[in-house]
Amino acid sequence: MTSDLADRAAALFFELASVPVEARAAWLDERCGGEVALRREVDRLLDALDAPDAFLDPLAVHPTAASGDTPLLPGTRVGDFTVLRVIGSGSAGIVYVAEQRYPMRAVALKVLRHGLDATSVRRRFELEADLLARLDHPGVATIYAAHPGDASTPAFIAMELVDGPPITESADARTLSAAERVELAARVCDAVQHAHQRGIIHRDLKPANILVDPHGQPKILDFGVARAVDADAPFASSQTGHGQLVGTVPYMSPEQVSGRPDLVDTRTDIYALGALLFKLLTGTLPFADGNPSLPELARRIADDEPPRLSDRVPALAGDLDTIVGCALAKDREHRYPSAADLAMDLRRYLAGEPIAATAASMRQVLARRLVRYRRALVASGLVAVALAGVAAWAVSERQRADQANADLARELSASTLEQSRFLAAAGNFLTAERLAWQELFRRPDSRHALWTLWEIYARQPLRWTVVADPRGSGSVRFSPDGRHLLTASNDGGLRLHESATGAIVREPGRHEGGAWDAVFSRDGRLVASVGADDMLRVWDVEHARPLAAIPGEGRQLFRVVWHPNGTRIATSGLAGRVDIWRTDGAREATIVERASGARALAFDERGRWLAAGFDDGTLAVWEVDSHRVRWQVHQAEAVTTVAFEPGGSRLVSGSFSQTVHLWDAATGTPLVSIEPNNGTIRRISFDPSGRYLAIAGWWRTMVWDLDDNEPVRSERHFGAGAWDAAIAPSLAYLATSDERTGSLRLWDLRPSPHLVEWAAHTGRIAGLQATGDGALLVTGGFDGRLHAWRRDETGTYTAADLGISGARILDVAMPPGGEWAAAGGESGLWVVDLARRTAPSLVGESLNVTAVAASPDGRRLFAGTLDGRLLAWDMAGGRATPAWSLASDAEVLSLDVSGDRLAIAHRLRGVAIRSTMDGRVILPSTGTYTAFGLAVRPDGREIAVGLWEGNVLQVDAATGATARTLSGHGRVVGSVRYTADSATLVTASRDGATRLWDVATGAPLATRASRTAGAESLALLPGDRVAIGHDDGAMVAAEMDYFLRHVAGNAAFQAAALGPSAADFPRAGEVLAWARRTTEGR
Amino acid sequence: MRPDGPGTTGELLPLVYDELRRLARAQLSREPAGHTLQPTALVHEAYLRLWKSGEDKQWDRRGHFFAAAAIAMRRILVERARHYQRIKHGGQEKRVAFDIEQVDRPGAGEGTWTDVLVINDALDRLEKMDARKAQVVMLRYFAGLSVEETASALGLSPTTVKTEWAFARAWFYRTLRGDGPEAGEAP
Repeated sequence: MTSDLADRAAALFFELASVPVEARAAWLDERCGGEVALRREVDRLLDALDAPDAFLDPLAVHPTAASGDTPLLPGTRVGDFTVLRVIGSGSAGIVYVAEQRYPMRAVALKVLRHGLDATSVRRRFELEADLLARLDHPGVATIYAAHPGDASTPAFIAMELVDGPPITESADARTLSAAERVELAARVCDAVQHAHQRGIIHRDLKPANILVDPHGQPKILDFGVARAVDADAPFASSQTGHGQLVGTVPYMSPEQVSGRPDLVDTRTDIYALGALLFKLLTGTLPFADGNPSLPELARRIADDEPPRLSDRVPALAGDLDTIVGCALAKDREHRYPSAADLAMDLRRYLAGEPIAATAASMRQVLARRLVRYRRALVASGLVAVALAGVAAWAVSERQRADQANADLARELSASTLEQSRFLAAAGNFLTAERLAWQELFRRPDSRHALWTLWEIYARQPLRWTVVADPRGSGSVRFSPDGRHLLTASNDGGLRLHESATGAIVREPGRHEGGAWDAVFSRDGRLVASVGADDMLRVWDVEHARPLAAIPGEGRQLFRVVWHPNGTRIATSGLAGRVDIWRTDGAREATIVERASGARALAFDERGRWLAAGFDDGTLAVWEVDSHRVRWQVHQAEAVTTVAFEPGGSRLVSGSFSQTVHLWDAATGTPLVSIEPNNGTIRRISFDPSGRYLAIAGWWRTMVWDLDDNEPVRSERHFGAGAWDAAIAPSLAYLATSDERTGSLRLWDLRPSPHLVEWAAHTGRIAGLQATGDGALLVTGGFDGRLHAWRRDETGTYTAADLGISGARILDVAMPPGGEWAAAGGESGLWVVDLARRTAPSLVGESLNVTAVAASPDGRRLFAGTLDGRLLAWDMAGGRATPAWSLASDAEVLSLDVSGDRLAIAHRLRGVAIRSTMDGRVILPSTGTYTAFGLAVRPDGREIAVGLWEGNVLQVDAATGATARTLSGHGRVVGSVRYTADSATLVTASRDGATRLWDVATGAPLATRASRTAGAESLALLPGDRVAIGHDDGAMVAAEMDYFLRHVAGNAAFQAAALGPSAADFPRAGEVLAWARRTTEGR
Repeated sequence: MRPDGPGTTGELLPLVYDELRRLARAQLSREPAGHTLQPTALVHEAYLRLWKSGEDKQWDRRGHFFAAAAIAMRRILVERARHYQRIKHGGQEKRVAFDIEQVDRPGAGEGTWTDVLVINDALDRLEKMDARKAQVVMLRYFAGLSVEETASALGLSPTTVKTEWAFARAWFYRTLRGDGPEAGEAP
C-alpha cells in the first residue's frame, strides 16, 4: 500500500464520521468509485472502529464516576464503625465522625473516594497503615484501623478524633505568650521526631493538620495518610478540609514547590515547622506579605530568601530569629538535621541557654572573621597568640560540624532505607532496589543497607542479574541439563551463561545485525539459531564451531525449533514461511507460505506435529510427515507464541490479546483460556514436567500452575518487561531476559529453599533450645510434649519424643553441650539426661514453673515459678541436686544466663541480675516493665528485653537503664537472642515476624514474616540459621543469610547501573569485592 | 468564581489542582515503573509553563484551561520521552514496533516512553489531516478527560465527540498496528 492510498483512505474515513450512519454505504460507494484497494482500506478502518475498548482509552477512574463522592448517611455501617456525621472532605475522601462498637468510642473515619484497585496500591495502603500503627505518641493522632476496601466495604482509615481547633487558632484563643507558643511548637517537634525515627515523613504539616485538644496537647493528624492513599501526594486532606491548597502552599518547602519530590525527606517537615513557628510568633506567613497569588507565593518560596521574624515583629530579634531562619533555610543542608535538634534549640532558648543554630551560622562567618581578626591583631602585634586561639576554636567548630554532618548522614540513610523497604513491600522493586543499592555503595559497611537488600530479595528472589548486551537480549533457554542458559541478543551474539552465576562461558556464534532465536538440540550438544542476517545457523556448542549456515532467502527467519530426533530443524519467518530443514542444510519441505508473519513455532514432543502462529491470528498444526494441516483456527490477534505440553496432549498459545489459550493438540478443540493479566504475551514455555507455564508478558512474568489453574507464588515478583522466560529442568529456577536493558536474570522458583518446616507440636512451641553446634534441638509445647531433634549427616533433623506428658510446657533449657534438657510447666520441672538417654525425672513436682535456664557449662539448672520463687540445682551424672532458692512476691517471667550471671525478669519489675553461684544480687530490679523475652548479650554488657506491646529494649547491664527502644513488632516479643558475635539481635513475636536488629545502632536489619502464626520461641544455629517455634506448633529452620547471595549476585549489575553517577560512590568497589567473595565462596 | 466561569491561571490553580493531579496520574500511569516523574511534579512543571505563558491570561472556560494544561503535559512528557530514549536506547526499532500493544492497557501502571513518542507522532500526523479529531484525542488521551469533559472543553456536543473519538481511535488502531494491508492479507 502506498502512503498516498493510506492518506486518501484516512481522509475519506474521517469525512465519513460526519455522514449519517444510514447514508454511509452509499456515500462510500460513490466516493471510492471503482477503486477496490481504496475501498478495502477504508473498510479496514471501519473494522477498527471495533478496536478493543481499552485501546487508547483514558483511565477508568474519574472523579465524576467514582463512588464515595456522595456522603454516607448517618447510621451507615462501615466495617466496625457507624457513621454519625460529616466533618470534612478533601481530595482523598470524606471524613466523618463515626462510632466504633468495640471498644466503644468516637473516631474520625476517613472514607476514601477511590477504591484501591491495583494490588500494589492496596498492598501499599496496608503497609502504610501498618507503619502508622507503629506511631504511638501523645502528639500524633492514633490510627485505629485501616481497610483497603473490598466488595462490601469502602476503603477507610479510622483515627483518633481530636476535639479542638488548629494550633494557630488555639494559641490565639488562649492568648498564649511568645514563650508558651515556643513551648507548644517544641511539643509538635517531639511528635514529628517520633515519626521521623520510624521512617515516616508527614509532607503536609500545617495548622489545619495540627489540632490542640482541650488539655492543650497538640496532635498531628494525617501522618503519612497522604502517602497511604497516593504515594507522592504532598497534599493530604485534613479533618477541616476546606481551602486546602491555600492553606498548604505557604508551608511547602522549596523542594516541594519546585516539584522535586525526590528531594523530600525529613528536613521537608523541618521547613514546615519553621513556617509554623513563623506563623505562631508573628501571625503572618513567611512569604505571604502583600497577599500574593499562589503561583507567586510558590515562586517566592522557591527563589527568595526567607524574611526574618524581626522584619515583622522587631521584638523577636535574636535567638528566635536565628532558630526560625535555620529551620526555613532554602537549602535543606542548612536546616536543622532533625526535629529533635529544633526542639532542643527551642527549649534552650526558653531556658536562656546558648542555642546551637548560632554555632552553625558561625561556621559560615568563620572565614570572614578570621580575616578581620588578622587585620585587627596584626596591628597590635599579638598575631601568633590570637591566631592559635582562633585556630583552636575553628578546629573544635569543625569537629562539631563533622559530627553534625555524620549524624545527619546516618539519619538520612536510615530514612532512605526505611523508604526502600516500604517500597519493596508495596511492590515497587525498581525504586526500592535502587535506593538500597545506592546506600550500600555509599557505605559498604552499612549492615542496615545490606539487610534492606536482603529483605528486598526475600520478596523478589532474584539470584543474579547480568547484562551481556545492553542492546537487549531476546530468547533465553536452559540447556537440557539445566547447567547453562543460552541467549540470543540484539547485538547478534549467542551466549552461553553458567546458570549458577550468570557468567558467560562461551559465545558459540553470532548473527550480524541481531540474533532473534536460539535453541538447544535435545541432547544439548547442538544449537540452532536465526537472526537479522536471515540465516539459519547450526553450531557445535562445546567447540563453538559452525556446522551449517543456511540462507533464509527472504524468509526473514524469526523462530527456530529442533525436531526431537535431532536431525531436523523447523523455522518460521516474518515473511510468512514455515520450513523444515535437515541439519546438513538441505530443505526438506516448505510447510506453508502465508502473507502474514509467523512468530510462533513448536514441535510436539514426539515430533509428529508442528504448530505455528501468525500475525493475522491464524494458529495451525501440521502433521510433520505428510505436511497436512491437522487443524487450524483464526484468532482476532496476532499469535505470538506456541508450545506443546511435554508428555501431554495440550497446546498452549499466547497472543496480542493478552490471553493464553489451551487447545487439544490433536483436534484444536479449545480447552481453557487464561487471562493472567500480565500484558501482551511475549513467550510461553512449559517446564519439562508439563505442569507449569512460564509466561513472559509485558507487565510481568509469571509462572502458571496448570493443575491448580492459578499463578504460582503470585506474591512473588519475577520482573517486568521480559521478552522470554524459561523454567529450569529442576523446576528450581526461572530465567528471564529483558530485551530493553539486556539483562538476563535468574529467580528462585521454589517456595522457600532457605526454609524447612516441621509440624513439631500440636500446640504452641513455648520453649526452644539448641546446642552450640546446632546438632540437637529441644522443643517443649503447650501439648505437654518435649521433643529432641537430632541432626543427621545429611543435615536433616529427626524428632524423638522424650517421653514426658503432663500439662503445658512453658519453657525449656539445655546447655550448649547438650548434656541434658529441662522442661518447666504447670505440672512441674522435668529433667532428661540426653547423653545417657535415660527416662525423664520429675524434680520439682509441686512447682508451677514459668521459666527455666541452663548454665553454659551445663552444671546448673535454674527455674522460676508463678509464685515468684527462683531455684537452682546442681546437675551431675544426669541428676539434679538442689543448690539454692530464693523467694519473691512477683511471678518470674523469663530467665537467661551468660557466664556466671543470671538475668531474671519478674512481672512489672523490669530485669535484675544475680550471681549463678548463690543468687546474690548483682544488679537490683530496675524498671516497671514486664520482660516476656530476655537475653544477656554474650559479652554480658547488655540485656535485651521483649515486651508485651511489641517493643524491644536494649538495657545497659551495668546500670539497668534502658539504652534504646526498638519498635517494629506489633505484638508480644516472647523470645530474643543475640548472635555469638554480639552484633545482631534476633527477636520473635506473636505478630508472626522474626526480626534482625543491629545491636550497635538499633537499626532494623531485616524482617522475616512468612507465617501467619505467631513466632513464640527461637534458637540460633551455626551458619546464620535460626530455628523458630510457632504458636500453631510448627517449627521452622531458616537460613538467614540465604538472600545475601542474591544481594551478591546483583551487585555488579547494580554497580554498572550507577552509570555516570558512579563517581559519587567511590566505595562501590568494596561492595563488589564482597560480592565476588560471597559468590565464589558458594 | 463559578467553576465554569472565566478566571486567571492564579485563580484557577487552587480550584483545579486536584483535577490536574488526576490528569497527571492518568498520564503517568502509562509510563514505565520506576520513572522519576510523579504526578505532583508533572503538575508543577505543567503549571510553571502555563504560568510563564502569562499568569493573567484569561481562560474563558475551565475547559480551555484544561486543554492548555493538557498541551503542557503532552510537551513535558514528549520531552522526557525523547530525553529518555536518547540516553537509553540504541537500535531497538524492530521490537519497538511490535510493542505498541502497551497502549492497550492504560491503568496498569507500566506503559513506556516509547508509547508517548509513537502516539505523539501519530497525533502530529492526525493534526495535519483532521485537527478536530486530533484535539479530541489529545484531550482524551493526553489529558484523560471524559467524553463530556472533552465536549465541554471544545464546545462540541458529546455525541459529536463520541463519533470523532471513535473514528480517530480506529485510525490510530490501524496506524499503530504498523502492518500494512499486505501483512494483514488473508491467505
